[in-house]
Amino acid sequence: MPSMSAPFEPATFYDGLSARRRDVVVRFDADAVSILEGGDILARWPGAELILTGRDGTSVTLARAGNEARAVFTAPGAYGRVLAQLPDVRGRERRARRALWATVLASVATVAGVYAAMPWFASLVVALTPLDYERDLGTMAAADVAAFFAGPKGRASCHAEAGGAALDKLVARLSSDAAPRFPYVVEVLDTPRVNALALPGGRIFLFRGLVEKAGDESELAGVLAHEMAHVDARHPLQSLVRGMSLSVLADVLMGDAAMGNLSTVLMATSYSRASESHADEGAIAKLETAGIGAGGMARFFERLSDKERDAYFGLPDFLSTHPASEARAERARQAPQSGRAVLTDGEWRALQSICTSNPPLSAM
Amino acid sequence: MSDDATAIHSPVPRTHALIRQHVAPGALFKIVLVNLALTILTLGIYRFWGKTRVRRYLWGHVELMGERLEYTGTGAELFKGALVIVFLLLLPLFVAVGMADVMLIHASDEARAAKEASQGLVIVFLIGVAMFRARRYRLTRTSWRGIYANQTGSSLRYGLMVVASYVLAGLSVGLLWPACAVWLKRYEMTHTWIGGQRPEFTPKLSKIYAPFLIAWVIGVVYFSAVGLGFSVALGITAVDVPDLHADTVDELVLYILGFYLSLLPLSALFYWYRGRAYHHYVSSTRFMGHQATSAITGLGFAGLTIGNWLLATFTLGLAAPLVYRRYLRFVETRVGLVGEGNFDALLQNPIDKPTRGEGLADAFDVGAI
Repeated sequence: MPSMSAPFEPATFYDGLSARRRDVVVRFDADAVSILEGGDILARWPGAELILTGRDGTSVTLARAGNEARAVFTAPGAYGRVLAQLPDVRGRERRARRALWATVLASVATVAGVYAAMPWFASLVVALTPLDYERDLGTMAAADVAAFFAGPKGRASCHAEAGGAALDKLVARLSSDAAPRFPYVVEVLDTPRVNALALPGGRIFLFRGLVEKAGDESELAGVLAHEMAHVDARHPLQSLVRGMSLSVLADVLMGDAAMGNLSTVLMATSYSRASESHADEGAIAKLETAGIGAGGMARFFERLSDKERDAYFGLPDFLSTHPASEARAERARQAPQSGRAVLTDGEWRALQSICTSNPPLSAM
Repeated sequence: MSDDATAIHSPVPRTHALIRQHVAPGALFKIVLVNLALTILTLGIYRFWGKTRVRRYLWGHVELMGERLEYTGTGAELFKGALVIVFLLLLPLFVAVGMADVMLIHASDEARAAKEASQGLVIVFLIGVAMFRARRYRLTRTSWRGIYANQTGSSLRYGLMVVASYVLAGLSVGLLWPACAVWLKRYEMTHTWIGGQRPEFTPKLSKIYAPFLIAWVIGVVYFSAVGLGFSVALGITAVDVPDLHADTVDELVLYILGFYLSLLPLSALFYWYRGRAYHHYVSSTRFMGHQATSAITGLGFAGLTIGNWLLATFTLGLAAPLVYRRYLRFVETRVGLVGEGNFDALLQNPIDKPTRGEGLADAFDVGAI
């Protein structure tokens, strides 16, 4: 008969080999626990390997690490008595919790690092992407965007002949400064929003609402030059890479399927404020070279700035992700303001009605 | 553990409740709340440990035939599983899909459609693989009386079976679905081990097809009526949708809302069938000479599922403890086991356990619980 001088506690024992239930006594020795049935020692678990695998305030389950056997204590008050016998176990649990937090915090730090490095990563990917690859990507994205805005009539962009010619003339004048990376392909989308969009590979969309609300050609030229400057700097591809990487990162973190759609990523993505300022500078230079002047651009931003003050809701999308319009207007005001007209009055009117005088679909 | 622990050992066959649940929603709510806070603070990384805590609690508060279950999984195993899947599978796959998109820019519409279709099939396949592997992980982390459960079989094969099931069900307008569902369920059940024993699972297709056909016919009639109603209504009012003026947007929202509400009776119908199917599955299961019995009804199951869905949706998931308890109570009151209740002869089956878990299921968000 083993000595019962050490503390002991009745328990139900499962030996990990079969589901047989055994009534045992567990003795808490100095450096181990012994499982006793009648006079036999069924198991002896070293104190350093003990773990608590279950506890709910009334019952507690004891096990040896890596072993399937279990001792379950259910006697009244056993919960507190058993825990009191096992200070080492609880110390190990505290250390495990600290290790868990170290893992979690290290992972969070890694994620933050990846997030911070994203702009550099995006620039690197862009620099390594061949131009014709980017052009293909732009073609695909443009088709997606056009499909998104296409109505039941199946038409997204406006093709009135006279308006198209006027638009081409404006684009040609603005691109006279240098050999562009891509030929600019500018289209007007038939949607009332006041917005403009540059895609990879030189594709630019002006929205009908923007063309109609522009006060004169120099205002429209300001926006157009801004988008063309984005294209020159390959900002759209950069923003696409950054947006996709971030969305993958978010999916990975939050655990959703990482199967995005190119166009949704693209449309949900904004350029950084730094890219915007860069594009503004590029636009001012273009306007100056083209002899148009930045006055129209300044006026356009002033109007946006008024709207920003007036309305917190229903702002045009165009400004939501951009620097404060007042500051941008100020910068445009510092550049030479006036220039000569590019379009005749008739051409400007044709451009503004490029969508309303759309030819029937069959003529396209 | 339980008041009727002695009754369970009676040599005379009798009906026992399969499980007794002791979930206290308040205690579980505390865990859920802390998990939510820590998950947000750690950008989502804590969720593996949080999930593990919830499972520990749930398993530990479910008594199976007189003894509590124990969940032996760890957050680190889930974390490792997720890392492996993300870096070895998802990121390469994501890059491959992006490159295929770009390469197919000048391809024909057919080629692009083929790419979309095969992409869809790959995702369905991966979801099937994920579900099977997640099931294996959870079974091997479930211990009862010192015996752990397990699952043999091939997750790749199961993934292919899921793909085949979707294709067949699609081609047959759903009519082959019950046959496929039984095929999948049988594969799961006959590869499930509790220690060294497997359940016997002998469902009969005819028992499942009767309620399915009822649901199918009513569903088709209902869907046609609702679809017709909507197209008539939309045809009259939304003449010029693309410009999305404010008033049209409001109306569109109304229509979308109406559309979802009109799906509610349809999902009730679907879960009614599901309930009937589960009733038959349970009644067709034996384990170590014990017969499982079911008092699950179609209406009862539809009420449970839709009630839980509403609870979860309108509390943004915070009612999870109530949802879990409702499920467990349902099983507690509706599933029984007839037999003498003696499992002493159940032996351990030392099949290998996977060392990490559920990465794929986490990625596709198909892990139950």
